[in-house]
Amino acid sequence: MKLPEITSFLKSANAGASELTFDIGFATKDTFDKVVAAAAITPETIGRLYSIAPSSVRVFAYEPALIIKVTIPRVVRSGGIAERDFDGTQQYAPLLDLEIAI
Amino acid sequence: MEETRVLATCSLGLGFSYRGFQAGLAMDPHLIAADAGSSDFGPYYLGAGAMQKGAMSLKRDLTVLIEGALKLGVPFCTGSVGGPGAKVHLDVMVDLVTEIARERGWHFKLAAIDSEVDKALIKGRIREGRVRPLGGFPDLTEEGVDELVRCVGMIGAEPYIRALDEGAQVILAGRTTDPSIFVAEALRRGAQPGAAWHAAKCIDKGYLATTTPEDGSPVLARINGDEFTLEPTKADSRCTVQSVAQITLHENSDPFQIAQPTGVIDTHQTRYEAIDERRVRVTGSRYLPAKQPTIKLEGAKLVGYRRILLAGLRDPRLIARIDEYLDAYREKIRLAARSMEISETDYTLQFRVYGRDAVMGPTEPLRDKPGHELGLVVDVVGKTKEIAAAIATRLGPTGSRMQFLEGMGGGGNFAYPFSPSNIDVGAAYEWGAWHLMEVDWDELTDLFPIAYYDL
Repeated sequence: MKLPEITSFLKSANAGASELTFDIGFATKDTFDKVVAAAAITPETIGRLYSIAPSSVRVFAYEPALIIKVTIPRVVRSGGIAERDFDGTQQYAPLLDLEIAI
Repeated sequence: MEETRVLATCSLGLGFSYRGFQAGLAMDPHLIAADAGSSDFGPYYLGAGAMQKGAMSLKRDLTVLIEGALKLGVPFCTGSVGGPGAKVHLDVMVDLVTEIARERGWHFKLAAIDSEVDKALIKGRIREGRVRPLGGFPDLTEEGVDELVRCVGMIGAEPYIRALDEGAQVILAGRTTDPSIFVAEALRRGAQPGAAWHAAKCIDKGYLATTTPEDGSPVLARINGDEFTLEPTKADSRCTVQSVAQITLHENSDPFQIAQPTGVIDTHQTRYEAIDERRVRVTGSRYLPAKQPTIKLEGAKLVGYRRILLAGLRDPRLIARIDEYLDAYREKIRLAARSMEISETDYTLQFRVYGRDAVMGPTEPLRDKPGHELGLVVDVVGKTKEIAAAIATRLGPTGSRMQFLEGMGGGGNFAYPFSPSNIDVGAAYEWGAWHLMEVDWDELTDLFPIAYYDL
């Protein structure tokens, strides 16, 4: 299954000037638990998707909000002259194609 | 211990429900507060001293908020004014509030807390080894401090507490950590720090903590002992466990620990539970005091002056070899610059190719699948306005007329949507300071002067 088929929302945003953070929300605890148990969203899968080192990826399962949070470094620091998306809002797009086996 | 109630709208100038706000006033809050800024929009507004939001939208929100505070006789606080929260922004806001008070015939004590940090002080701390980088930034040097156009410190609750103690009814403050704008009155009233700080964090985005932010309902936090509850003030809006809990994650890199000047809001043991369909109770949040207080520095440095050119590309032969074309284009611009005695180190030339990888750059997985037409943004940043203008003059003719492939480019490679084809975007900035500076406990207040105005 593709990630958007099992999530209630997917968003990306800046977390400070040098990090980007993705919040992946689930509508039910059951789905959230299954995705966490399947270890489907890991530093390795995110690293592959974004062509970055897995060691630079942090993944948090935040059960109270049923959100899996992923934080990665920004390609460039926010709002500088090489900026492409200063709010970081469109950087989640590759996650839409992530296959989740649950 | 008495309950403390804090009423929060949303980022100042973005609007909120008037009816919802009036319903919030009926809940008898001890403080009304709104965040006014962010560093999310990059260093431009700090460097240029520009306001992020228009005066008319700020005036509407301020008028309603201050009217509510005066009606109840409670304080209204806002921080990170103007966006970056530098002195220049604070001055604009003081003028705006003064104008509102004069027009309405209102009288109150206004406090303006200045959060700009003196460069000499920062240099001294650098020499003492008391400044360290955040987020992979390089160490701050004394020369780096000299390069900053402006530098603000993110203040905590302490200057707000002082202003409240000294009788301010309306507080305008420079750059502030978001929760600090909302927490001061609760701490003054003796609330438990864990509940007070996490409640402040949960309401610092106002109506984003509800399930329908588009309804613009303010939210009310009730802080009671070691717990707090959250509810929207508009009767048909709802706060749910998920809508509240996700605010703790919002734009933070780590959902469990949110750093403040004097400690960390820790939510490892936090429990969220629904009281009913529209109210949420939160327990177990902690505030872990720091051994050493710190102030986060945000400074902007001028990099140069920017001009951009927008062009559409439709020739499939060009699109198929776009990288080669851009390399050749870049080289021709280099030669043109040299002919004008402009060195390669005096300008930066960048291409953003919409329809291929402009949004994601090197992290774009579909980079090799460009669309049938591409939008090209050619971006030059020159050390001076004259350099940017000189190179910009060559961008169009060079790129459009270039005969990259045989039989191509006679008429032009670029479809221009706009005349003039190149646009002056003004000064360009980078973050020059994104660092933590150690301070002493009394400096949390003393470094940030407060000016009072009897309006």
